[in-house]
Amino acid sequence: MIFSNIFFLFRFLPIVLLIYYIVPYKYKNGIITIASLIFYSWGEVKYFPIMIASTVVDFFASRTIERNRGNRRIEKICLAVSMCFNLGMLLFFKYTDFFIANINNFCGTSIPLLHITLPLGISFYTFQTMSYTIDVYRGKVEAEKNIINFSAFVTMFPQLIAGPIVKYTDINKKLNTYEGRITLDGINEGIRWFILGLGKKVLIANNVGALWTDIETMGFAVGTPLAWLGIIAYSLQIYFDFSGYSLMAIGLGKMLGFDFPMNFNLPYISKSITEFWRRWHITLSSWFREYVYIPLGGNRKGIKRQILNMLVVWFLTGFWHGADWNFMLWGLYYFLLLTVEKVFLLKKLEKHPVIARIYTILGFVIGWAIFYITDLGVLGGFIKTLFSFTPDARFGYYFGSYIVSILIGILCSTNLTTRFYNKFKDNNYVMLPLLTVIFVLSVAYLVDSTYNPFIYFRF
Amino acid sequence: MKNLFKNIKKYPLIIFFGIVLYVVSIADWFSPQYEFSDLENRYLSTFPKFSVKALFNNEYTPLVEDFTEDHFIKRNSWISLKSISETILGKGENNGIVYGEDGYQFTKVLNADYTQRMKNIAAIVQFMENNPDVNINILLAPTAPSVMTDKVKPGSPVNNAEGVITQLNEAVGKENVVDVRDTLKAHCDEYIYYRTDHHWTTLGAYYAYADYMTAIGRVPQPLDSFEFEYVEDFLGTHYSKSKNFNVEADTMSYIRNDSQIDILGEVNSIYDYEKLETRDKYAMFLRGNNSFSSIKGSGEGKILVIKDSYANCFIPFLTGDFEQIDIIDLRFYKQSVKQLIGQEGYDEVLILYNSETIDTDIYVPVLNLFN
Repeated sequence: MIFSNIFFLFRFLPIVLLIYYIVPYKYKNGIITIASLIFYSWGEVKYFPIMIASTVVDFFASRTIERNRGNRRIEKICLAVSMCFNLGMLLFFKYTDFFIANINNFCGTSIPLLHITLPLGISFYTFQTMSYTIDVYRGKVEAEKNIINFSAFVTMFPQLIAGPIVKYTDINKKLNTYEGRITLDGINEGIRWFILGLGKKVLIANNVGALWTDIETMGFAVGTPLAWLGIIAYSLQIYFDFSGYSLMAIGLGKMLGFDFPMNFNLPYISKSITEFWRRWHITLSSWFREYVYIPLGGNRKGIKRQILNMLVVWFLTGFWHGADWNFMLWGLYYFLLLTVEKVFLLKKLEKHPVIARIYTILGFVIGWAIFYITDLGVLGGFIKTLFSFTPDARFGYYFGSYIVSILIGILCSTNLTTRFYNKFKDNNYVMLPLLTVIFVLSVAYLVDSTYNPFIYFRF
Repeated sequence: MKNLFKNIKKYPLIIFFGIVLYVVSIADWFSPQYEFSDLENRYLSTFPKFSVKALFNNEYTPLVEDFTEDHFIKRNSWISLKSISETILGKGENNGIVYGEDGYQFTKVLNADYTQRMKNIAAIVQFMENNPDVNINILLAPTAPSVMTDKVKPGSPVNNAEGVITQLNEAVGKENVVDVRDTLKAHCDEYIYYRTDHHWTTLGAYYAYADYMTAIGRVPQPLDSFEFEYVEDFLGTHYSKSKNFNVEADTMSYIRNDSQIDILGEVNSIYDYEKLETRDKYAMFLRGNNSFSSIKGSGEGKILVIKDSYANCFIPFLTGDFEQIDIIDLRFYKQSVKQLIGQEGYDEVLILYNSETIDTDIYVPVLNLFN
């Protein structure tokens, strides 16, 4: 199930909220677990056991670590079990076919592909459960004693399938808070975030995304102006889709009484790629920083080692996004840009803010082309089109149809939106009509939905 | 609890959206459910029957979602609201329908893949080789945007018939293709295509009829020998998809014709006048698309028409010229066409499709099956 859906909005959500609010506090985590398991199974009932296994393995691994504090051997075995289980699942479900296809390709064998459907959100929840056991192993947090509370953390439906990547330490206090978890302030803020997120996804992302889908249908064989219009539209689509989805998750979390970490902070206003990655998918970057980059030595072992560490992190980041060569290329592309910035460019960019912005925008826009186009030959052709000039008779039509949506998208990518929000968020004469319009229009687009994709199916 | 009621007054957002969420959800649950959407001219989805197998194949839950969307309270108003919003945004299309000038609507076509077209043309060539003893003509009705070019906004992704007709001319030879492009273009300032429907009008079909008769060496009956009847408020297939709030309805036309059609043994008037009372008015012609039907005419000779729905308003012109008109729709006809030709000894065979059908339809190769 996805949030931007009539069934979710007018069936699942009202029922779950009603039950959640009226049951006594001690049952609330149980309600979250049951609701989340229904939410998860709705999309893929076959993978219900994986969810259960994920919960059980990390719960008991961490409990065992906790009970055998000081016994390094048992601690290490338990950590290894958790890591092997989580990474093994991720590798098996997400990457097996990629490896088979490439072995076939290079060795001329014909091992049949398994054609496994990727369990929804597996890349998100394996990272969450893994970080929990690592944190317990490191002694950063006590292991959860109550399996219901723990399963509420793992399965919690708002963030289950598309992030943000919520760590146990982000919400463990609230999970064990019974009185005062839910506040009217929280619900109020949750409603605001949720509706704004819904609007980002349905009104902006879907609207501009349709253009990019058309270009894909044309096999990316378009002229230069249309190619630019298309890749700008896609850049806006992926930002508004992803950040809108995160915002809906954060809003739902607030309504349930939890504070999830922010996941996006106006990435497109960045003045360097380094800054871009501090603002884009923040919970993923900080996950890799905390559990890969710093354990590898981070920047404490000299510049050469640091660059090697970055290479590892960016290779993994790319590969995390999807099992294909272009995702690796995308990760390495960012590794390259970030290294160049680290070595010398960053200082120069600081002196030329205008050039810095143009460079950054160009950087991530090209990045999105690499991210989207799986066929490397087609990708090469598309990038060549961007930097040569071939006219396109269809440009006028698409420009006319999409320019308003694109301009709205660009406007909403700037800090004008946050300034507006911070000024008026408590002014109900502004917020109530604004949110009503966004909500009503979003419902209208969902009722007559022809284009409402879920774009994280490869994550 | 008392405290809650006192405090919640400070949160109008919670009160308002709480009420909206629950009132709409409950009202939707109890709102009447319609089987058929007149606006969209389609049957709405029915609630799926639960089975464990369907659940595990992921075939149950998506249908529940579809059902909820299809029967959502005030569905038509939401659809209009979206259409208004799209117009404000300057969108040139909605739900796969591209808007042209003067209220014209066209099917959106992005297709850069011509494999089905090549298969279909090859099937027609093969069909002509298989049936050398009968006179076969192919008439490809160009789609509206190929003829009404000044109604198409520049760069719109719509069908263009030029390529397929040129390819067909090369593949089967010009003498067997009735190329009506120039004739229709010469009349493009007349009402020869509907605005809200993908078909040509009965007037457009007449011009094609005249060309066809000339091509087979006969004299077409003059336009003023036919008596045209008009039906107002026709909203066609394009509108069923675009559902634009500012639509201008078409006027559908048909010629007076008292012939009878025999559809698998049932004999009736060739027009189903009851359909004029419904949204799907074009379905009056020949009583819709049937696998095989036959019309007794008052002329001479036998003709077989293999066709899509474009032929439905074309065929009534033929009843004065032929004694027997047999009609096949390959989407439903599952027998050998070659054997039928052998049995009936037709004087003429006419393949009549619109140019887009040739690009996409997968049933054209049925021409050579079951032999």
